[in-house]
Amino acid sequence: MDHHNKTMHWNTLIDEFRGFGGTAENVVQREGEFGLGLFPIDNSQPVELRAPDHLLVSTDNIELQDNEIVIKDESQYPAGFSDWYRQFQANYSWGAEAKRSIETFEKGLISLPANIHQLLEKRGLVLEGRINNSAEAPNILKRFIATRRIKRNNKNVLMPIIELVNHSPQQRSWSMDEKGISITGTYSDEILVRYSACDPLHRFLQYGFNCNEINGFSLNLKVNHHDKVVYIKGGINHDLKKPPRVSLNDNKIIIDRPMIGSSKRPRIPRTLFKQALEGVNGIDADELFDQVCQNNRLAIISLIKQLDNAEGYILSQLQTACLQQLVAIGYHFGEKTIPD
Amino acid sequence: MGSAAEWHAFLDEFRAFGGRAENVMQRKGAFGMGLFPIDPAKPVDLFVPDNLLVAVDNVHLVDGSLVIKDESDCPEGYGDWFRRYQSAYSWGAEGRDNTKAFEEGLKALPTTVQALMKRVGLYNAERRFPGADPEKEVLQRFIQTRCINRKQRRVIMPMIDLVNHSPAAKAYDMSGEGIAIGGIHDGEVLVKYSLSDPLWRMISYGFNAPEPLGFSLSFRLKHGDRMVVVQGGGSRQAMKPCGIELKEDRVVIQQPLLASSINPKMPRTLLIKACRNIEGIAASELFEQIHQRNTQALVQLLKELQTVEGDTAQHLRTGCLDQLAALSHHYGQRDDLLADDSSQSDAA
Repeated sequence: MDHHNKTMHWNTLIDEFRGFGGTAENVVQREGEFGLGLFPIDNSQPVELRAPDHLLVSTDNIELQDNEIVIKDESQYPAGFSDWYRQFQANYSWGAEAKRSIETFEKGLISLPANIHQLLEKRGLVLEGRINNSAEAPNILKRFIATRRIKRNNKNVLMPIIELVNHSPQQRSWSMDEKGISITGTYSDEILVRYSACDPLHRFLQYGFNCNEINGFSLNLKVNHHDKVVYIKGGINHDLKKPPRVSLNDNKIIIDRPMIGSSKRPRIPRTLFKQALEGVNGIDADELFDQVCQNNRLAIISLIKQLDNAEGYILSQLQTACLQQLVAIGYHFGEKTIPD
Repeated sequence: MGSAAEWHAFLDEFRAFGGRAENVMQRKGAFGMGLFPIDPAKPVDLFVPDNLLVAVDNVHLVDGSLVIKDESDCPEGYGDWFRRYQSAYSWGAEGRDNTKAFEEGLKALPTTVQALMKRVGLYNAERRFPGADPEKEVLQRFIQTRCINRKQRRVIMPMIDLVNHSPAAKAYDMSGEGIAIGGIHDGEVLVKYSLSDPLWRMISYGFNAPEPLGFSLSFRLKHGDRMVVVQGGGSRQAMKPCGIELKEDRVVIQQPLLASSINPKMPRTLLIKACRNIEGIAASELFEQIHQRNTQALVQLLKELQTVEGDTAQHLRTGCLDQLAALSHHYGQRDDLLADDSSQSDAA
């Protein structure tokens, strides 16, 4: 498709989207640093993107037909929307780049050596089922949904047009109000949005790209602390301002997804960790925090070393993610004094 | 390297000068050429008396051989023995070629890698291996890896300098009238050269070792409203508070210990102790800031090395990863030692 036709198709798509009640002003899709993304047409003017609630597509209401994403039940959408959605997915999202890049990533992940699979599973980074899956279309669709979905009114939904925006941890997240989900503002270059709180390693394994995330969370770990065994459940704690949940079971202590690094607020990780353990007998929270950091570092270094002699695109990308994770979890110093 | 008969004849000569070398032979091992017990069930006895130690400024190269400049203080014939020793078993056997290959490898690293290493005080090619007189510069590097401080002199230890390093081994025994290594050795005879960490060991000696300590790189950082200058590198007195001084408005910290796998509570404790009398420093927070900056610098170096090929790049990568692992070993603090300190200052 030549440039003129591309522009015409894009303008038609956007006009139709507006006709259904959506908003997309001053935006165009093109190739950028992060693959296909949305850019302002005139970067001196504000961008406005809005997907109203009635155009959000529930993730359990889509399926593959002849390798194209279609809406299963069209009854709740404006007339013609499901056809528009099929064209949108085929030409600008799933069919444009997403399917191919997810397929490549999943195949790469499946092809990793068994010892790397074991390490990733042990640390809670990749679930066993995902590695044992094939890179067939239905599984690729599941991954596509996992990287695009958002929770809205207790439902997982996809956001037409807005899902084309790429991620940056430095940007604001989507705005959500009674009218739907939106992105607005002036952008000198690519329009970017923060998908969610994450860290480099989890972002890479969930989304397939490397990013200098500003937070660092723990991996799955077992730490011997004085006479106690402390289990750390790894993963992302989306509530960045709350202490991690702690549960006690006999002599076993379980800490749920503690944040251990934050480049923007380096005093917060230790502060929240200590708050979470207040009143837990037999724990030196400061020392345990250090131990959790130590064990994370050693686990990541061990993974990097195992990747060092292997070859292949995914291995070098995974190694980069590990290195970025080391930096992300390194951002913790001091603590905040909490007023009584 | 000569035959077994030549080796034993050589040892006989060494003994005649007053040295001891019992139950040892040189051969190739996991760390290159090294010394091994002939009978592992029996003790090894290596001893170089003080009069056979050779000051580093009393050697030079003559026609490619390492020789003693002024033999007047040595036993008769020792100069000739030393020349043959260096030629057959040390400098000429592997020492020169390995040292040269390592220095050339470092110098051939991409400029981005070299610039990073220079910035954190790890390596400066212009100073270390300028290339104006390569043979002499290689010799200086060779000597750096073999010499030891003994009675205010830097000396080379013939025979003992053939022993390879292990951080888990005992140090040299310097309690008598010379330098000794003894005891039963299952496999290779190994000795702990000095206190160091994986990266400084690798840069100084050219080999990777899982050292139990972690020291800092060099950099400046902002701590509150203070500028802090951290001078990196290993310290001989690792388990004592590091030096710290105020220079104008800057705080200069000398070779802080950041990690110890054997005493993981000591590094933070020592920095807190060192900072006791400096105003405007939150020592615990500063300790973590120094860690954070080390991690950042090491990861940056690793990223630059990701696509660089060659043995030196691989050694450096391993050194950086081992360093990151070594630096992980710190948790908690020794409240008992800090309480002692504060009760002393209260009493004063």
